[in-house]
Amino acid sequence: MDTLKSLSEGLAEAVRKGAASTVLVEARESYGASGYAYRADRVLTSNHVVEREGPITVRMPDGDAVEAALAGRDPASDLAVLRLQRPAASPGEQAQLEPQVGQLVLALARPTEEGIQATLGVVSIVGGRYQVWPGSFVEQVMRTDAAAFPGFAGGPLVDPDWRFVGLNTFGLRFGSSLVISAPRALAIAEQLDRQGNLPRGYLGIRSQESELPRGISLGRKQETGLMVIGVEKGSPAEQGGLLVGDIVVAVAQSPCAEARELVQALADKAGQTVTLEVVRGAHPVRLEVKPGQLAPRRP
Amino acid sequence: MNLAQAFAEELQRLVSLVRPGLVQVRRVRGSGFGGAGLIWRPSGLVVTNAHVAGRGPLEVALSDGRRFAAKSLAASREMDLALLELPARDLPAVRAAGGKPRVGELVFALGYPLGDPEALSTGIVSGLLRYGENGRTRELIRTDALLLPGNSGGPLLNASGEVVGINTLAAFGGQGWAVPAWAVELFVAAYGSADRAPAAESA
Repeated sequence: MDTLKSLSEGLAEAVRKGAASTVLVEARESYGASGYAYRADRVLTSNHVVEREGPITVRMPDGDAVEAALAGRDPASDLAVLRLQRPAASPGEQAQLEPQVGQLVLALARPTEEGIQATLGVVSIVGGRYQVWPGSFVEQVMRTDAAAFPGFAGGPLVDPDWRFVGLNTFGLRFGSSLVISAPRALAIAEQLDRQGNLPRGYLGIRSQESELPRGISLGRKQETGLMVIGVEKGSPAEQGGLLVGDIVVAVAQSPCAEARELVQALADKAGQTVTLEVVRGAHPVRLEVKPGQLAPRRP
Repeated sequence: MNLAQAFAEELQRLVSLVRPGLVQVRRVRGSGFGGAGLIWRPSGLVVTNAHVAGRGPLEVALSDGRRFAAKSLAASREMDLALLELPARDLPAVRAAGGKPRVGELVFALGYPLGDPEALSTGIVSGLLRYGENGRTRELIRTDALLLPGNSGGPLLNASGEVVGINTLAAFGGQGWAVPAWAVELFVAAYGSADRAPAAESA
């Protein structure tokens, strides 16, 4: 029985080691949730389990209760960063290799003080994108078939070498757990820690994908753009002179052939003046606009 | 694919070692899937879930085809355990694991889900949790191995083929629960000796 035994021992050992950086997050009334310590004083968790801005308690595996403050949250990716009052956590290590479809993973969780919990599965999808609401996407999303029990949100997904592969966020969606990959989750965490949220730029238009009029050459291979079919009153688009019927073909030099490219191009442009490349009638024109900041919304 | 093949072969061997100790428990009257049970002592003591045993007469089928009418020695609804006695000796008992399982270790569930022939499912120990009811708590093993009605009373086995728990219920979201082997051992020790076998509790 060497295969079964060594696999079994390996998994139990991975749980034991990964458990050191899996913490209990007490930030809602109903039930505890999990968190992943990526630094001695920083914990990544799921945004939706943080129902209050304070007081938040984070419990270490040994029961040590540490007060924490919400450093930042991003409803779109469902991530939140907690700042511990003192460096009490034992941080985990990030997996060096890219996750692969089919690799074994353990979902770790600590929703109660009774100890670590774990489920086993494989990585089902890597590098997917997830539409949170129309026009808003989370990139580098993974899925796993490891079961997500109550309180598993916010816990880490680790590989059999107990390295951090991603963060479990929304729990069960369409039968499989949604995971934000480790590099993406840690990059978002740094931003949340620095500025509290992830501002998303917006113009205030409704648009639909449209073919460009004949005879228009943009000097590149692009056959479609976004025809403006509505401009919000007082919006950055109106202030910048955008009109219904205009076809937006690029924002700050990145081509926009479809809606998601516009959303992506605007994502980090809030408050900056950017040039829109627009086809108006039969002529390309350039407009200066200053995208506004879309307030973070709760899903 | 050597690893996958070794996994399957070892698992089949493990199941074949445990199979003689696995029994099927059926109610003589009424319907339902029945469930599984385990030969806990060679002297004829069989453990199953209280919710499988119910109150009426029971028939127990061994894997070698023998069938016995079982006598109920004790039952605890709180622990969801029932102790049965078969009129036979030198039965092939299962081996119970000593100590508590580790979270993350592989487990295999055997039973008769939905009345099917013996079925196997795999997972890991997901947690050791206290489960409270009426002010009393008991510790249960949570697993992500697939458990269905009819798995009740069957074993949760570790990678050595030892019983770490008796599968007792399946809940939403794919979580299964098992009564730990050490709790079963205490129950059998309390009610299983011939000189102090009380009548079945009617609780």
